[in-house]
Amino acid sequence: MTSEYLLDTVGLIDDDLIQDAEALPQPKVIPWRRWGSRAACLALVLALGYGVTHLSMSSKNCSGAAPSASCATGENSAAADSAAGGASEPPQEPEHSSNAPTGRIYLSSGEYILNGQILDTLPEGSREVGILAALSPDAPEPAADNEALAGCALFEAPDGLLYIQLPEGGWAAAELVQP
Amino acid sequence: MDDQKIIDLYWARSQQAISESETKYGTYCRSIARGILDRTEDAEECVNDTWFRAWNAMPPQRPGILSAFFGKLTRNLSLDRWRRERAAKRGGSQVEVALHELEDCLPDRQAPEEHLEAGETAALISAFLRSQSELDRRLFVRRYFYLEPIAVLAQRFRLTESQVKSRLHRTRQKLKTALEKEGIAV
Repeated sequence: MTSEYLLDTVGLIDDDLIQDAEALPQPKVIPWRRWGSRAACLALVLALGYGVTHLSMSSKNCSGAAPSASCATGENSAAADSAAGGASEPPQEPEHSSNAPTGRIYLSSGEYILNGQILDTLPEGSREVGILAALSPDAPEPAADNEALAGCALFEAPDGLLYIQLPEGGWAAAELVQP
Repeated sequence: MDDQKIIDLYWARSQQAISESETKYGTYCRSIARGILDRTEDAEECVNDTWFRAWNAMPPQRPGILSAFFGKLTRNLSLDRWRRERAAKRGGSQVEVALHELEDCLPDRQAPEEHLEAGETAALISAFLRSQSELDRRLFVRRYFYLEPIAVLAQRFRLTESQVKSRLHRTRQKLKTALEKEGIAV
């Protein structure tokens, strides 16, 4: 077999495959400014929410089973609260397993974060949302800030979680970021 | 004009079939020819030859998907011309690159007793492509049927060039495995 033979045989593939490749995805372009304003609003909501729920909370209220960022600081919660007053404080993230990809998914419906869970099969009733693009100023929707996830198919499960089809197999779960 | 009406014009031996084909599919066929041939004049001749070949093929043929029918004709004519030009040491670099990449798919084990006709190999490639994800399938077809450059694919699919190369590499490796499984050798 030669590569020229392969090139010729590709010219004989089924017509519908050729037609399918003509109908290319025309992703909707989401202007960066729109994302910027959304990110600013989200940061403001996070900062206000954090202040309302944590400013009056003492370290005694923290549960050992699910330690939060403020719990982790223990007696220094006042310092943590002070830092949380700034808009740059990120939301809490779940722990990730060592092999699971990390990152955030951006959709018009909200921002999702990979929670470290990897499933072998896609939950029943899931629907395809689209193909992930790398986050950039003119990134289409959906977009991911982890470039390694660009090109992966994204699905939404009936329970509201998102699942990314990983190239090496498996489905990485992402949950909606809660303020 | 509707594809079926264009085919009917060919069957009725109406010269209008050529002009309608040019109007609807001229740009499409020209983009295929320009992806293979460096010289605009050569690409233009291949597109004109496409309508001539279609005129001779219909009747008796009645293509199911007219765009793919014209696309295959243009691709074959352009590759034939490219081969003639390569013999004369002129142009065609994009095809050379694609040919080099396709060497990844060549089975290691040669089994002369298991030769298949090109049509049968194409059927296996079609079945293989159907088992791939939509993105990988489209990337493969646009790269090796349309001979589209990596940079254009990256822009079209909103990926980086390294992501396109990586995905194509993985698909070629999987195709190689699939061909070896079928014991294909030429």
